[in-house]
Amino acid sequence: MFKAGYYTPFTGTLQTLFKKKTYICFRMKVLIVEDNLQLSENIITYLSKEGYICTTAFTYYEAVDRLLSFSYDIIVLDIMLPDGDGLEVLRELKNQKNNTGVIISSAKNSLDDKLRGLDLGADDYITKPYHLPELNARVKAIYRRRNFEGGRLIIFNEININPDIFEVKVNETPIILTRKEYDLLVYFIANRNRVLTKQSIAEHLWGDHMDLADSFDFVYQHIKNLRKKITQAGGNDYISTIYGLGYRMS
Amino acid sequence: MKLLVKLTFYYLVITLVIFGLGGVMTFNIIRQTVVLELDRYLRHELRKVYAAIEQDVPINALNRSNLQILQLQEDNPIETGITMTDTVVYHIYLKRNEPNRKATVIKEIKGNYYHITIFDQIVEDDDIYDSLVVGLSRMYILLTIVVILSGLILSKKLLDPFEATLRKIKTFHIQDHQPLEFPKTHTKEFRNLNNFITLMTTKARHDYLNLKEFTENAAHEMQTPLAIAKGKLELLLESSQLDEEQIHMVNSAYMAINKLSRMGNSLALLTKIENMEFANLREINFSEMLEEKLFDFRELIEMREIRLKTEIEPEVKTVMDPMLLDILLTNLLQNAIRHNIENGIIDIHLNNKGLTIKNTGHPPVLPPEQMFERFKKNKQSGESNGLGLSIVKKICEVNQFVIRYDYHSDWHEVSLGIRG
Repeated sequence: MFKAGYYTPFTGTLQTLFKKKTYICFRMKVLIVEDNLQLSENIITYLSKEGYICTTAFTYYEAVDRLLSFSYDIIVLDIMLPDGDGLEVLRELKNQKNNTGVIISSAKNSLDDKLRGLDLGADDYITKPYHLPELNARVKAIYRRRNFEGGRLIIFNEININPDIFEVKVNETPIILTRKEYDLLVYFIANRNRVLTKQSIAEHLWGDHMDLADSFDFVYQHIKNLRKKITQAGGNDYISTIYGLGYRMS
Repeated sequence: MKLLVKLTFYYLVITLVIFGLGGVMTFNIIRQTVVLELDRYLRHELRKVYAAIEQDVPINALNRSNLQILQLQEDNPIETGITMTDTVVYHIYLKRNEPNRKATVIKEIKGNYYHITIFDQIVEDDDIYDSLVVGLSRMYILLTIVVILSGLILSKKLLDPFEATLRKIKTFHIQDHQPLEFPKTHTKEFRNLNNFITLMTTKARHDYLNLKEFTENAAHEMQTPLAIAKGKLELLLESSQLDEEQIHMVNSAYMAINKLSRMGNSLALLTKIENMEFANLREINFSEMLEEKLFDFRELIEMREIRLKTEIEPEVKTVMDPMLLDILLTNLLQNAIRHNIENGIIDIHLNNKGLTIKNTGHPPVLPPEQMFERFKKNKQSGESNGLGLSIVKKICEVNQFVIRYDYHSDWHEVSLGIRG
């Protein structure tokens, strides 16, 4: 089903979804450079539901080929490819001088690679195995930064976020959120209608080196506070609990 | 006991036995010689007596206290050879019996037969014995001194290669990049020993490297399949057809995979610290970093209603990789929060000598010395993977910090000694 090449999942049903949900107002083009078929399948399935046009490349050669022929908004780049160094793709991209965002994905949690990648103009670095919602949130953040110079508001119904000044308004009423609550809200909105597991939320908020043992209580606490603050400002409670598993904003 | 002392001791004991036996033998030889010499003297004296008699010296004039000549009157006396016997003679001056040697003979001189007895004092056994004991014991003392001294001097020289080998082994670390090399020695045993140790350590290093490589690879290779499984489960959770029971099953699998992947990350981190991959050394403001971390943890601390007391000296500096300090502080603070009780206290002190983190909590199940071992944890269940403190310890090792854990009267205390 998923062969090298284009994968455009927009069939009838998604098209209707596209019309119904007004918040999907762009069709981001994403190139996924990942030599593992199963992994790229996962990414495509997840990101396609966001309405992105996803293309895959399994090798360095394929990736360069695609980059020469088409332009993309975002590239998810595995740097360990069977026929070359993924960082070379970055160099190729730099020569083209287009406005493409790059997320490096690597199994090696190596600071060296990270610095090298960011030096070469990558926007972000994500270590495998990552949570798909995390990748999604980062893709969106990069897209936003790249295309609107960071000036674009995140709007979700009555909730209005200005990422430049970390300002959140509900029905034009500003609300004060803590740093974690803010991160949480942005993460939820990036992954609306998605199931967000406690693990993925905890890792998003506290990073890799935090032991998860007790952070779930904190996740719960933060979400409780966030919901309270939004509803107090007259907003709807969009976050629902999926017992034992996590949360969903819809 | 040192080998040299043992050797000397046995040597001296054996020499003592030999000296004893030798003493007995010497005693007998001296005694025999003395008797032989005395006998010869007595025979000589006898010959002088014969000569005197032949020259018609009157017997009475010849008789002395130790010489008795009797002219035999009986018929047909028979001439005898000289017989030597031991006897005892009363000593007039010493007023006691003294051992003597007596020569008796019946001799025909100029047709007359004489019974001649001559005796003389013999050297007493006691005297020989006494002088022998004095002589031998002095010799023995001299020998002891010489043996000990020469032992000390020689052993330094002879055992030097051995000591050198020992020193080398002591400094051997399995993570060393160079094989052990020993100075040349001409002693065969030591040469064998050195060869053997070189062989053994080379093999140990080789095995260690293999194992390390395997662990590293396993940790890396594990991540891709885990990422796949994790992604698939995340996608499965998205689909709405699952009933509650199925969601729980998927969730359990998902949690297990998460745990596994985090464990892999932690193990890979441990290896990386061990391999000195964090070599971005620079001077860091420890105080600032700690304050920052405390800020990050503030909400967690508040949520558990823990009281935080701090006494942080400003401008405490240390040289290390900032990433490692970050990991170190995260792990320590996290533990202080996790193993705390409701309404507990965390007490943090930082000064130029080091950092002390004290927190209230339940008594540990583990003995303090096992606290830093891998996969040792107080609660076997739960999300904690039991690697946090191992990572802390490893970071301390590569930075030469001293870390100690103590528990007394409801307080857990971790103290970290940093370089001045």
